[in-house]
Amino acid sequence: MIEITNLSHSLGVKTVLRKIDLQIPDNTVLGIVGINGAGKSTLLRLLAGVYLPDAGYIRYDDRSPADPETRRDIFFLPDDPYYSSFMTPLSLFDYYLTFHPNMDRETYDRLLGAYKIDPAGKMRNFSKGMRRQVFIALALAVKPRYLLLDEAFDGLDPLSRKIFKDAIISLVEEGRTTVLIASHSLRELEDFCDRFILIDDNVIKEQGDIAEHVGRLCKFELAFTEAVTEELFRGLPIASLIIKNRFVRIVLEGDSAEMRERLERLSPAVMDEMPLDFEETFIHDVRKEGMIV
Amino acid sequence: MTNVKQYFRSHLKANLRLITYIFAAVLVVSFLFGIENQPTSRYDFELQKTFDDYKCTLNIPVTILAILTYVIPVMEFSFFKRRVNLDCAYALPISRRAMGMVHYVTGLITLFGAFSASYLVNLLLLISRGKGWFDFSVLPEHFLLCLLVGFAVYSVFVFVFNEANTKGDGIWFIVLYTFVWVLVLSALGEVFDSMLIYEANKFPWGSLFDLTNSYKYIVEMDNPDNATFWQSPDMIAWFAFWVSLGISSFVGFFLTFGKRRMEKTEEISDSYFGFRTLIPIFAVSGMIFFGEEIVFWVIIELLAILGYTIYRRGFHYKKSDIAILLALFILLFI
Repeated sequence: MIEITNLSHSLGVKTVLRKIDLQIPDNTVLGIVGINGAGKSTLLRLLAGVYLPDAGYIRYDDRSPADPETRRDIFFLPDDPYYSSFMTPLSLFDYYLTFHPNMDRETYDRLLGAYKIDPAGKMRNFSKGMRRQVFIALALAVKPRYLLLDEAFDGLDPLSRKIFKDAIISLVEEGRTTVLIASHSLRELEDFCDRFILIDDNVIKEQGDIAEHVGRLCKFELAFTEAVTEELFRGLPIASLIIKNRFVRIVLEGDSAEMRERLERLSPAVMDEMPLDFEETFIHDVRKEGMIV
Repeated sequence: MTNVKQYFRSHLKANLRLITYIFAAVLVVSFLFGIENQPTSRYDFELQKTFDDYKCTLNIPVTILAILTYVIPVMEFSFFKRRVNLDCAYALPISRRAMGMVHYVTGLITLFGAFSASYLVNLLLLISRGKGWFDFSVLPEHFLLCLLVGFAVYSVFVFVFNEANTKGDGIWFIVLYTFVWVLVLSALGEVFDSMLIYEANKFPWGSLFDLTNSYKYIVEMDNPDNATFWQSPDMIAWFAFWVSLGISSFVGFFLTFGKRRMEKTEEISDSYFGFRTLIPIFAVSGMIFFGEEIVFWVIIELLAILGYTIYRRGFHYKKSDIAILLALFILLFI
């Protein structure tokens, strides 16, 4: 289990994280979400032992990430990982093998094959997406107990994303890996994350199960016989409301069956419930918190 | 410990190409300058024969040693001046101090190895002249003294380079530390009216070249009286000063490297061993040294402003900077 207690950190004079408390059970896939500059990457760097916290502590089963031995169980993939100009995917594997002697060559080769990467090619000649694929293959070949991924989907095409997600799912299903993933691709996170945390204003604003969180809101599209105004919807728990003459798109907070019943009382000519995903929920959350307008 | 050995091996492997280039360059330069050594003809009346006397070219490996003490700290520690690199490096299962020591030792091995190779090439070229004029028995002593000074200056430059948060600032620190002693000792020599301080006042490598000349005299058996020059009080003072500074720098590097915060990387270099202290020291020492030469004082004031502009990467001076500049300006009028 990862235990974060009273964790605070500043970058220069700017406080980035303030008194964070969080427990992450083993074998969980946790999505870390927040707007740009919210502190997602800082949290991952603190968890990886790259930053040393100003206050509070992080424990991996009572071990600190400041201890190099703890970091043997951690693999951190930053958004812009390091490689030297002479490195090839093969030499990169050898380099990491120094620190993770149990790395799985078969997984690495299989993923490089799936991504159609030349193992002997110079990485400096690869595109950003190809380099990302190499590092993803590397992270999965390490099979760490704790996998920390920052903007993992950045630069990946849809097929690469699918291969990556499938590999993460099978790694977690093997039963020994906890994955923490910070990303702006919330639709991707929704597919395989068990839990999420939303960081804003230096603290964890929301956390919980993604499905439950998405289920808090429901979205409807309605058509009326005459033009309507906001006045008609007064009293409803509105998360967002868009009115265009006779047509309305409304997101409400609460149980969808109950909300459908309340909307039916307004006598729309047509009413459809639309699927709502994690990304839309996130946008509603951040609007509500005043993070964006 | 296993991690350290593994990291050392992989670091050496990763840098092998660069180290090979350095060795190749050193060997080629040593050889080319060595064979350029032109003899002086001497006629031996007893044997009624002309001999070619060659000069001992010990300055070649010493020059290479001096140049490499600037190049190698930058080569070994530039890696730690980019956040992108540190994101991955500091997440590896090895302590930061151990990682720093691996880079330090690799640099020292490269430095000593390249110097030794150059020394050997020169020695072989000298032997190949084979005129029996050379007494090589003192060379091991000279070689070891060079290594000691090499260690000292390398350690000072490694320490000051790592006090900077960017590669550019680190290079500035190394350059400034080359000159700061000259200026400070000159100023102290003026204040205390001490010839010892004044004569010991040399660039890091100045006295090593003097020392090397002493050995050259012995090797050439040209002027044995000069051979004891290196045992003069100012030379011993210089030697003791640099060796102490080297040891202190190594200890400082060892104690502080593991505690450096990654988030300071690429930020303004605010260390007390950097611009913050060096600019006032340079300015005050310069003003003392140049005495009442008002033109130099104005130049020093302008250089101090330039220094703070480099330090703050623009005109974003802090109150303390302005206070120092004002104090220097007031001194100008007093």
